[in-house]
Amino acid sequence: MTEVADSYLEDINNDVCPICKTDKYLNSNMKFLINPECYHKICDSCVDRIFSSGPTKCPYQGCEKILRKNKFKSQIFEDISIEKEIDIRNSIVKIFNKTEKDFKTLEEFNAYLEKIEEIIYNILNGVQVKETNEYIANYKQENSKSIHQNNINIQRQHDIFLKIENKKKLINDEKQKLSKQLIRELQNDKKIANQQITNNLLNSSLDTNLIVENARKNLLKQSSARRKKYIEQTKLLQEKFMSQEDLEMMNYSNPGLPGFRKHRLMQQQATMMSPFSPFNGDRSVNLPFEVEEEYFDPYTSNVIKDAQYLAGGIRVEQIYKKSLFEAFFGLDCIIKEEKSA
Amino acid sequence: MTKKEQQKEKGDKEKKPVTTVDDLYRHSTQYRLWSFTENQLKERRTKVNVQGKRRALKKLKVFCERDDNDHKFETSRDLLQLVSEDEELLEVNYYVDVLQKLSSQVLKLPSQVRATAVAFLKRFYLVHSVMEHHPKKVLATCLFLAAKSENCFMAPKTLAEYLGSKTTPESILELEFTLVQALSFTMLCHHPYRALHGFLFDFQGILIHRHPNGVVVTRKDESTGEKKKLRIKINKDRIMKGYVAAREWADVSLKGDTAFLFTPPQIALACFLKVDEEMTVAYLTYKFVKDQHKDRQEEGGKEEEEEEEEEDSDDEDNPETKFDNDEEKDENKTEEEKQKAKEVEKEKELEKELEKEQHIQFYKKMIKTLRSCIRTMDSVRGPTLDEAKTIDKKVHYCINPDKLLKRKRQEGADGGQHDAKKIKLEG
Repeated sequence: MTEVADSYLEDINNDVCPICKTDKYLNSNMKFLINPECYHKICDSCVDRIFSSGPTKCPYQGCEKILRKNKFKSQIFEDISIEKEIDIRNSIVKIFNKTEKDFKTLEEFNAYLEKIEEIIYNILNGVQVKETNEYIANYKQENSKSIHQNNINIQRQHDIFLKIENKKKLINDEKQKLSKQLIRELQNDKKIANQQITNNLLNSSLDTNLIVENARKNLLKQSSARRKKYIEQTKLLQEKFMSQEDLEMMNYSNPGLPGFRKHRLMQQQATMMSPFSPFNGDRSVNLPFEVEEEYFDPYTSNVIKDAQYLAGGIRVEQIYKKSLFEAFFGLDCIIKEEKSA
Repeated sequence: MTKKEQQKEKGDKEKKPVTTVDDLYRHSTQYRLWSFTENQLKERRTKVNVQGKRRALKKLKVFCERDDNDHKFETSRDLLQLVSEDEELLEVNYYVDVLQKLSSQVLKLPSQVRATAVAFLKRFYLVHSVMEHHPKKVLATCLFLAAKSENCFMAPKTLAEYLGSKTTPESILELEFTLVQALSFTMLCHHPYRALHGFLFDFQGILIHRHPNGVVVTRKDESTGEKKKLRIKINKDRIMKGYVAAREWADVSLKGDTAFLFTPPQIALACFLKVDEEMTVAYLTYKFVKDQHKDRQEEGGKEEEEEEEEEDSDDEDNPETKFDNDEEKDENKTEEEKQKAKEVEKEKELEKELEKEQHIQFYKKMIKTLRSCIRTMDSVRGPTLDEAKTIDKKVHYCINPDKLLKRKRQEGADGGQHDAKKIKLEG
């Protein structure tokens, strides 16, 4: 019981602003904000109240950090340490923003990534803060041009990505509309066809079977024509919304791989072309036996009749093959000769 | 050299090596860790025996040096009877027998589990001596672990209930890790049962489906002792009967060193050979010699002629002493063949001859292996009940030296009284 009560209390504490003691329960519009300087939680009205007149100290007791109102933001992760790490990571990655393309070998790129992680770790855990900050400042100075350029590139790619995503969404919406329309039309056709059949049956002197058959054929023709039209329309959609320019941009947002990566990928594909051989050699295709369709065996014939086994995916050919395989599994391994060496 | 090996060599030269079914077996732990030649087995057993003797003496010494008793190591050492290498083997064989009877008659376990348990027990005593762990205890753990690894789980509690009052779930689990470690963590065992099942199918495939008109066999006339070639039809009932009988022999094969010296398919074929020699030999000749050859050369006219020739290989199943004669015959015939072949295509014919020779060689090797497998199966000797009892007593005292000394002291103390009683009774 106490545990439950404790957690309940904690919940309450989580929902109460530690400065003005306002409860979220009473004021559902209340939002908690944090400042990346010290990561103390303060409600939005307090922020307005305390920081509107300019930067001041954090209202938490013992916290001497000077906070500015414009740096406050809402918390994304429940765990403050994660929130903190993400912030640091974002700021670092903005500076260390080289891509795979900027490196000649994979090793160099990996070393670069490793360096970034090391910096983040240092800042987060307060290890060698001075040296790390110096390193960052130096790097920033040395590479200011490329950092700027890369950031612009990243931004542009992101913009293009958003644009294309929007277009894709539009296309999908249109497609859905069309498919709904198609279904409606098909149903309509069917109704009309049924009516026609009844009319014809009442009025004409033809054979009833023939009438029904004709009507059915007509309906099929109609529906297939409609389907064709639908497919054409969906194809047109793609062209209508995605201009040539967009397609080019799509390629731009997915830039090609750097040389070393391409090379490796090609190698991988080459090895993937041949079947996987775990024993340093290809499996012999010519097995020393042939599996026939049926054998006389009381044991397996019982199994085939049993629905339980069949439902489990057991097939009699598999049993035959497996048993036969085991029959030749090491038949020609003469231990006496092979092991004595 | 067999056909497969040659294929492999060719493959090496041309492109990538080929992994045959046999190569797959060569990668199994059963082949890598638990297959030995006879000499290797013997060496291992000697090593284990020496190690066991040393441990038993050490145990006695440790016990004597404890403060709570006044035994002297020098004197009590003579009292301790150590187990010899042969006795050790007999003891293991005895408990393998016990294990088999227990699992088949009392526990009614599937044969796969039984075989695995036996394999575990035998493998364990290639690492540890009976003087270190009593087989009675190890046996229970083997059963438990085998059931577990063969997907037929039995709770240690249930198993302990079957095994009598001295076995508790704790005593079963106590040795589990020791056992697994002794097995080098290799739990997968291959047994002849599945191979037998496979041969049941392949016998049908070769002897019935491929040759619906019957197969040619050599039969010895009982009265005259002459060999005759006959064309007989083998029906499925005969194969089935052979299979059932061979399964029983597969049970027997678990006992001795067969599983260490031969591969499961070899043991399976040897079992078939033992129960129905005629059928098995027919299968082997057709499978490895006649059909192999026919596949390549589909000329109807030649078939019969060839069959007659190949009949020679039939004889090769008979005791090895005959081999030399048969080989000579073969050579004679191949010479005649060559002369004929000159007229047609010399090289092709030669190649075929070579291949055929290889097939026959492979067949001979197979038969030889199977015969020696049968000999190993037959040579298994379990101890008599009295022998087993005396060995078991020795083993018991080696493991528990304190009990031995206590017993001896008691005997010493009331030995005189015993004699007095005896005399009285006789009197």
